[in-house]
Parts: sequence; structure tokens; C-alpha cells
Amino acid sequence: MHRVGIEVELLAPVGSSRLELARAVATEWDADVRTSWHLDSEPAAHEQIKVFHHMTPAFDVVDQEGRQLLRLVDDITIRHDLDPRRQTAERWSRVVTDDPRFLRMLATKLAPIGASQAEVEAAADSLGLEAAFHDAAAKLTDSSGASVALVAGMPGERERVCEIISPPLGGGRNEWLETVVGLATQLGFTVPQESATHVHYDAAPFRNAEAFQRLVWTFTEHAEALRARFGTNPHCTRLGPLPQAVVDLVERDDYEAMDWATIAKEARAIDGVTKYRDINIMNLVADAPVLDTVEVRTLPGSTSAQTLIDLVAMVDGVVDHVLGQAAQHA
Amino acid sequence: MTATQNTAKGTNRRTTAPSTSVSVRKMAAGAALLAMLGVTTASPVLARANATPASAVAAFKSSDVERTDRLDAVEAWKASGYAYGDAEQLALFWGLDGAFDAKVKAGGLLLDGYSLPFASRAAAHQASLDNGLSYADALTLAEYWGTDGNYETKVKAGYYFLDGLDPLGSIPTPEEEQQYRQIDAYFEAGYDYDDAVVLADIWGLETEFEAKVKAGGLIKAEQPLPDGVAPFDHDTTFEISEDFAAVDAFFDSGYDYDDAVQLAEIWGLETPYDAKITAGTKVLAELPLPDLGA
Repeated sequence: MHRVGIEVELLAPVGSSRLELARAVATEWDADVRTSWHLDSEPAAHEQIKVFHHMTPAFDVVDQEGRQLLRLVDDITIRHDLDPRRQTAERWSRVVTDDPRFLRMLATKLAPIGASQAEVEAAADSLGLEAAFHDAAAKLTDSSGASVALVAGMPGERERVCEIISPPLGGGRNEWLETVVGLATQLGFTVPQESATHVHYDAAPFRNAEAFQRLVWTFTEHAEALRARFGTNPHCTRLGPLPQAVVDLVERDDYEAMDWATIAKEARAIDGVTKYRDINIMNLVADAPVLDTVEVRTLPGSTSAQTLIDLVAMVDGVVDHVLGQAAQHA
Repeated sequence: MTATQNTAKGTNRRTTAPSTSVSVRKMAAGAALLAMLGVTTASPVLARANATPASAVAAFKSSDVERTDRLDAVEAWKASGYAYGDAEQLALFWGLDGAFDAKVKAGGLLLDGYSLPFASRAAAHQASLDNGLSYADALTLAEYWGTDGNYETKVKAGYYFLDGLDPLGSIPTPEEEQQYRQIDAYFEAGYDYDDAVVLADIWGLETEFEAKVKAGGLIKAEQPLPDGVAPFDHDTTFEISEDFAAVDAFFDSGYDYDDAVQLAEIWGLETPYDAKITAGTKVLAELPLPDLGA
């Protein structure tokens, strides 16, 4: 069994939120709930269209030793089952800007839930910004009047969205899933239309020519077969096999003789190697990876812990195949 | 599933085949993976390896034709009113080696009573004269088509006439030109027909054509599109960015909080904030707002 990180996208029932699940899990494990910000962005549709970055309230369940047991965040791909006209999370904030640096700066100054007008003003002031209030929204501008960020409410039932993020799970994987997903089911959580499950594996064992070759073949030639086997959610469109250019790379005559640094460098240069594929290899080939994992993204969401356990076991098998065959040749 | 769509948009075509040992290892790896997963169908790799190559269709060669037949064919060609320029076009059309092969093939067809795929250039030119194509019109067409010289323009126009069409109808009006440019921008940004269907629905437009034109205009103006629509990805939301741009537009147009209160009342919206978003969206789409008085 591999050590994995698991992300499952679920939806709280109307009137509830991801905070409720955090509280339930914290009670179960005698831990605390801590509120934090989750930073995300919409992918740029076109190089001339701005990418908008935003942050929304997230919840961490932290044990007495300070270890993170669970993290619950928003996920912008989950939309279909929500009513955009409702405004129910009255004290939750959402900060929107076009530069992620501003988000990180503001994250240290603003509380995600219940920030008062005075607190927003103080935060703006400490960064040399002006805050102009109109109802629930505050527009922050700099000394030349340029807009820096919008601190607004969070309408549209987004508090119901619940992406469950696990810590690295080893032998306790099944129990963790049974507890968290079991509590979610008890609270009436469901699987939203766009739901997916992602599984992260440590990237280090893949960093050699043989394993990478098998990984690329697996997620190109057999992308369709894997999706059929996993039961990939057809409503998830931020997926796709790796580009042909990556296949060309691993089938080059001189490929076997290449060292990993060269392979990674060549792979980085390929257009179309993005995060939004059946497998995310961005960190695998990155120079300085942020999160050192390989991420399989084509599993469907589920409120059945057993289903999730079986699915992850299947991916374990795929990973064994990719790494195990390499071992035979080594 | 959209896997194929993503592949088509993201790949380059192979130029050389992998070496044999690599292919063998690839197939073995594939078979092992599929066996492990319990998939019984053959992998595409194995299926392709077993396929027999398609037989090539024999190309026409005038040297294969009997000499006497060849001479007859050329005579028929000469008598036909077709000329060298036509032979070149036919050679391209039929994928032949050269104009001579085209003449022989064409002559043979004419002798057998068949007509050729298109009328002669001479006939087309005549059609332009017969239809009274004016010098000025010819200039207009030449500029739009980029044809080289008056004769060429008349020939091209003549083919339209022979098909019963008006060549001038092929030229877009300035308004149409603008629309086509916007549609170009739309496709260049990676959007497609399905996205246009969604946009037409969101904007309450009758046709995808209108949606493409409108979206292309927004793209060129560097404005965001409404939520749910991004190339390759129908699940991305622009809800937040749209709100942000709309509120910005509202304030940038000189409106203030009191205006928002008024608009909310006029439109029957729950909060002034909703009014700002609605108003801002209208401002961005260059739609008029109600008169709010002084």
C-alpha cells in the first residue's frame, strides 16, 4: 500500500456547510477546528484575459499536537447543484484580485469569517490602501485610485462546497476514509455533479527514465481504458491524456541514455503539459516543486468509503505497474 | 467524454516511428497493465500493429496509355476550348504529375463523351463578359480576392456566374467583416461550437453565430465571459471575475451607492449589491441603464 494524499469533492446539504463536517470530525477525534484562507484561481482562458485570483474560508482540523488531520476547502469547479441567488453564509468573506501577491498579503491581515468593517479598514490601512464600503463589499484601492482587491461576501451557497483534503495517509488510510466520509454521509453530504477524487503519490520514485516512460505510456495509450475502469465522471472536463509530444520524448532513440534532469527539462518545455490532465506531472518535472507529488485526477467522487478505498487500491496497482516494471529492468 | 477533444487540441503529430525495441516494450507494458486492470479488449497499440496496410490506388500515367490513343486524346483536348491553364488546374485536381498527363486524361474523357470537373477558364471569362461585370466591380473583387490582374479576376468571377451566383455577394460588408474578425478572435481564444450554444443560452440569443460574434467582441476588448464558459473546460466558473469586473464598471461609470439603491428598487432586486452587478454587467455590454434623474 502506498502513502497517498486523497482529495474528494462533496457537497453539504442546503443550509449546511463544510464547517459542519469540520466540527463533526473534530469532535470525533477530540481535535480543534481552525479557520484559514484557501487561495485559488480560475485558469486563464486566453492569454489576454486576466486570471482572477480569490480566497475563501477553509477549515483545518488540528489535533492536540498541532498535526493537521483534515482540511476542507471550496472548489470552483463545483457549481451545478448550487443556487447562485441565495446569500446564506452571511459572515463569510471572499477576496478577489488579479494578483496572487495581494491575496497572500491580505490573508495575513483579514479574518475569513466575521471580519468587521473596522477590521477591513485597519487591514487596508496597514497596506497603504483605501477601503470604500458599499453594503457588504469593500473595494480596496491604492494611492493612485487603482483597484487592488475586492473584499466581498460569499453568495451562491458556496459554503456548501466541500473538498476534503487528507494529510499523507499510510496504513491508516482506510480508517481515515471511513471516519471522514462516514460522518459526511451522516450529515447528508452528497456527490455534486462535477465531483472528482484526486490521489497524490510521492514523486521521487518516478524520477527515472524507465518509470517516466511507463507513466507516460499508461496515461496516453491507456487513458481511455483507465477512465472506463475507474468510472471517471463525464462531467469533469479539466482532464485529458498527456500530449503526444511527451510520448515522442520518451520514445526518442536517445531517450534511455538521458539523465533525469534532461528529461524533466525537455518535458517542462512541452506545450500542453498542464495540471489539467488525467495525471498531473507538473511537480514531477518541476525544477523546484511546490508539492512533490504525482497526481491522478480521474477517479469519480463518492460518499461510500468502501468505493473510495477500492478505487485508490486500483490506482495503487497502476502505480505498482509503472514502478515495478522499471525495477525489473534496473 | 472529452479526452479526444483535449488530445486533438493539445498534440503535435509524430514525424518518426519509435524504434522496434521501444515498440515491443511498449506493447508488453500495455498488455501487462491491461491484464492487471482486468480489461479484456486489445490495446490500441496491439490493434494497430496487426493491421494490414491499405493498398494504394493506382495513379494515372499517360505513359501507360497506348500512343495512338494518346494522340487522339491530345487532339480532343486541343479542340475543346480548354487551354494550358486548365490542364494545370486539372493536374492538381486529379493529383497527377504534370499538365501533360492531365491533357491526356481529360482528352480521353472528352472522347468518351464525359464532361470535365470544371468549365474552362475561357468559358468562365466569357461568362463574366456575358453578365456585364463592370470594370469597377472587377477592381472591388480583385482587391477582396487578391487575384492577379483583370483577366484572372474575370475568370474567377466567371465561375461564380456559371454556378448561378453573384460574385459580389461573396464580399462581406464592413459590418460583416467586423463580425468575422470577432468570430476569428473567438476561435483563436480556443472556444468552440458547444461554448457558443451555452453562451447563446446565457445571453438569450437566437443563434450561435450571434453568440460567437458577441463573445469575440468581449474577448477583443479583454473582458471576461460569463460563468461556465471557458475553452476546453465547461466547468470553470467566471462568476467571481464577472462580479468583480461588473462592480468595477459600475463605479467607473460614475454611479454610486445611492444609484444602486434606486436601481435595486427599479429592478426589484434584493440588495443594492445585486443592482451593482446587474448594472455593471449592462455597462460592460453597452446596454442602457434606466434614467435615474439628477
